[in-house]
Amino acid sequence: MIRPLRKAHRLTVTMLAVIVPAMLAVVLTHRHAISAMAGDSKPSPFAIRLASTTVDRRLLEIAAPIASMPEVLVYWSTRDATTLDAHAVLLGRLDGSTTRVGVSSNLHGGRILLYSPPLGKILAQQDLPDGSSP
Amino acid sequence: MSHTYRMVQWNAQKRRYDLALWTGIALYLATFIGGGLLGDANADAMTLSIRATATAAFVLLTLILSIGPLARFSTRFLPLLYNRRHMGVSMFILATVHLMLVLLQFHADGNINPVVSLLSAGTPRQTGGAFPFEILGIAAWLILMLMAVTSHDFWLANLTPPLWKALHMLVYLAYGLLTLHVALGTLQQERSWVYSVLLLSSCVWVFGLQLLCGWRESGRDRAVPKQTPEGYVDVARAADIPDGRAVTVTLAGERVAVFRDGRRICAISAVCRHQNGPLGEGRIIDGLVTCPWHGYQYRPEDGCSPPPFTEKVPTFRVHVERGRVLVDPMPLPPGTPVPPAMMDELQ
Repeated sequence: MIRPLRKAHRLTVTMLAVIVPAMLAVVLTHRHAISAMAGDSKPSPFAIRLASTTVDRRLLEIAAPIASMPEVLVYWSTRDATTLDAHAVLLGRLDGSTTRVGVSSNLHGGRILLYSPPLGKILAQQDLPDGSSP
Repeated sequence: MSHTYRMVQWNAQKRRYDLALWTGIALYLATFIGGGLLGDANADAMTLSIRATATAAFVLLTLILSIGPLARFSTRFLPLLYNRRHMGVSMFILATVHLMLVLLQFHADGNINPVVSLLSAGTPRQTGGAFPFEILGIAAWLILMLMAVTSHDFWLANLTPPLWKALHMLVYLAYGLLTLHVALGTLQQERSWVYSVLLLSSCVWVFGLQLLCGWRESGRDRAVPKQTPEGYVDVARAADIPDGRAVTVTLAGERVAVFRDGRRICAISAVCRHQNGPLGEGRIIDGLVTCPWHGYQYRPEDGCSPPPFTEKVPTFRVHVERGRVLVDPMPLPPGTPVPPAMMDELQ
């Protein structure tokens, strides 16, 4: 009746009891190092430029110093900030060494912020390039 | 059980259970968020809410996975088991709130669809070589959603208990995925050893309890009772079976509950038709074998639930010889009447 189910239950639990704690131990002992690129005194290693413009949006190209880094999010904010503004608009994630991010034409002025959630700080910021001069 | 949909059948005990559960959840969330805001001037309420709902859901899942084995070790935990599905649905609600808050905080303010943003967040290039932990969380959430929507007895009856149980065994996979979601996500930045130790402790506790319970149960299943030349199996001394209770033996790989009701001895399958609960750990109440998990009842002499219910379990031929209870290991079709064996007056 439920003999096969009991066997499957035991097998599942036994396998997971070996795999999950082992993987957990490996993951915790090999945590990736947080990059030191957030040093405030160093010049920003990022470059933000306008790649193209269409009727409804501008395409920004963001060059990062290395392809491998902790998560970096790209925001647009109306003001210069040292911490992420509650009304900042998320535009996307940094994707490798060169990332293209679309910015709606509805957003005028303001600044582009590169924010690292792991570090909890803004890594770089720059005025939003004007759409009239790609 | 019914193949037609009926609303959840509330009773006073279920109401008390849910009230206690949600009071506990509310207190936890309030303490986590309130304490975080008071303790750290830079703390952000949204971030604290994301973490509070996540930790509450994970703690509940740890508790849910512990109830089954604990109830096998001690009947004191049976009240928790009674309404475990409500606890599971509550945990799913917390996990969903966590997911919604994450979407709002990290994916909803741009011109990218939040769901697309979340689902495309996981490539190694985008995470800087780190593992895309979001995908693990989403996979676990999908499993939990499947379990939550099929938690009603309507699905249990339509899918049949074996399939339903097999489906709900995915909870172990969901737990493993969530453990790794936490380890590869927030614990990559949260370097305090306290969180790592707590996560590891939960993992060891859950799987340790399950393995311990499984080892104990498999030991019982392996026990080989003595067989008479007529093919009957000697299961116990009749006088050793407590009145209104049962001894459980494994015959031909399946568990059989041998109940004593006064001087009458009956044997039925030890597997409840509702959720495969252990009937052998139940009691005879009002002359009916009562499942310890959810109170489903069967007549000991024919394995049928009393009208209007229609559940039936297999029965077994049984007789008493020189004070020993002998059971035929061949099950009879569910609902087959078998005259109870009578204990000798001298017993």
